[in-house]
Amino acid sequence: MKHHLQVFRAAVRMTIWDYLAQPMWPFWLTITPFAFALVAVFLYRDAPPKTFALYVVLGSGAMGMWASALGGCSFSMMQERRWGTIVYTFTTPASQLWIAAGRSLVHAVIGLMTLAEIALISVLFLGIQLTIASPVAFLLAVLLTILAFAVIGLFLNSFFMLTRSASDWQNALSRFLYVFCGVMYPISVLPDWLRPFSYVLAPTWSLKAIRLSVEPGALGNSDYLMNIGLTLLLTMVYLLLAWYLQGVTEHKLRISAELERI
Amino acid sequence: MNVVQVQELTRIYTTTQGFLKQKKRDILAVDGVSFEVNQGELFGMLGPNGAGKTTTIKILTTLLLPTAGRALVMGHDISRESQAVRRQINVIYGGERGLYRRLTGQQNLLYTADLYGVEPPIAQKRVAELLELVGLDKRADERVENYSRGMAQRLHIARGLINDPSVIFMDEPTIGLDPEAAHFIRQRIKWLTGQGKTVFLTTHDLWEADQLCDRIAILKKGKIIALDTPRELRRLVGDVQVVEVETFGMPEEKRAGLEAALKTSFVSVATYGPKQTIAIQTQNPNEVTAQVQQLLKGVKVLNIRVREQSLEDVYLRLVQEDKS
Repeated sequence: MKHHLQVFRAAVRMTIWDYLAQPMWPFWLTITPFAFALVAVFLYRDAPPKTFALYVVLGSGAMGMWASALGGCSFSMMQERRWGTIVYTFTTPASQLWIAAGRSLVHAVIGLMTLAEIALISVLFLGIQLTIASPVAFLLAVLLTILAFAVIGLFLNSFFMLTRSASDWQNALSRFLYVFCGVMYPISVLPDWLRPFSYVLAPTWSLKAIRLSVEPGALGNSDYLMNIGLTLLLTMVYLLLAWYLQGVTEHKLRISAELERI
Repeated sequence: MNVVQVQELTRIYTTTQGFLKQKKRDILAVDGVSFEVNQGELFGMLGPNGAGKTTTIKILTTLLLPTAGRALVMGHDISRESQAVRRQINVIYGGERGLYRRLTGQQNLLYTADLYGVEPPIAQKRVAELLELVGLDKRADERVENYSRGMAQRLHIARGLINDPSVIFMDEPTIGLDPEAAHFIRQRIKWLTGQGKTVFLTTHDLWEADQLCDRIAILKKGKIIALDTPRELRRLVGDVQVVEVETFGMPEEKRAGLEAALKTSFVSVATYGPKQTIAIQTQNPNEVTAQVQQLLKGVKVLNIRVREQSLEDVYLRLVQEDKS
């Protein structure tokens, strides 16, 4: 376990070093979230103030988190393949799962920064009033959202290891996830046959919990607690699946010899 | 003590062709090879491209699974005990890939140390020592993308020693390097065996293999066709000498005529622009020299000499002998 934690910490540190060494990071952290916020503003400009605040800030913030969590993980994997470093990390005793966990967490936290940035832009430039009646409930829901995004990144890591087109898959997947999680609208507007996809995504429930946490007394609200519970449950399921898939993926890669292909 | 034991190792790659109607094709890369590497030995593996050298290294370093056969590294099975194997080995590939180019040399090493579970205080000390060993201590804080190819390769060497491995696998570590950089890497490889490390080296540089290796295996089409010390390998093709002829602008028909006339000897021709170097391995150098002078009448002969056979001569003979 000590070695796993060391690998996790190393992956966190390396991802931060690498992120800050890229000339595009100020752009990713500013322009992209701003674009998401603008889309949300135009979508909800005629909505009541409360809906406007929730969906502009949370909706575009969640889109930013998705983009960062998925995009970051797929980009890291593509980069590892392009640079040939994946071959070296694979032959170390470090678990690929713990490397991916560190990487996914950093990208999810960077996603949270986009949420904070959008909140700031909304308050300062768009005149949106943000009131969080239950800060503890809000914080808990936000932390769980980060965890959910990080674990989804971890879960998809196995898949990204197998493919040479991780970025293309990430682009395709993120669009679906925007739709299924109801980042810009309640999932009740989706057709019945699409909703099961939403139900199996942990961020669907954590985002609902965030929306409920702006109401007073959220911690005693059974609806809020149920959403938190479902987020935790699904996150645990993703973790187990990620752990299982990692073993299967590594075995498959040692047979298929596709790890080095770019 | 054998630190690497390989028994009947086989590896088949399966590729698919076509889109709707996919056809599978099997490629035999390693064909039932068996060998052992002793502790502290510098073991070389030679062979033409596609002979199975890199595949063998990839199997032994747990990157690939064998299709059949068995391999033990430090007593651990590479298929079933890959984690135990990984803790005791490291691998160095040639070329510029394999490094985090936007990170500094020092950051690359620190990250790798963590992946191997080296305790942080030990890692800090070892990173500084290794950077000094490979002459990168003054450039440790520079991004790898600013390194020359030789510097990147030196960083690879440092990276390969970060976990103080018992066995180091090197796949063409001097490929593409200038002579000075290659000399530096060879010195460090030699130094490693002095430290009691076991080194498994693949290379295309026969002079390098001759200078460095205690024993050499020659691979051809996935099979080991010879395995011995460089000295014994030289004796493998008999008590022969080499008549070496340098010519300028030799026509193709002359070359064919030469090969046909000297059927009992092994002839190899290397072309460098308009110049050719013909090496004829023979037990009767005087007779062959006279014969060659006769056969090359009308061709500009720059030099002709008789020399002892090198590892390169033996290698060429072994890998080309039954080309048909």
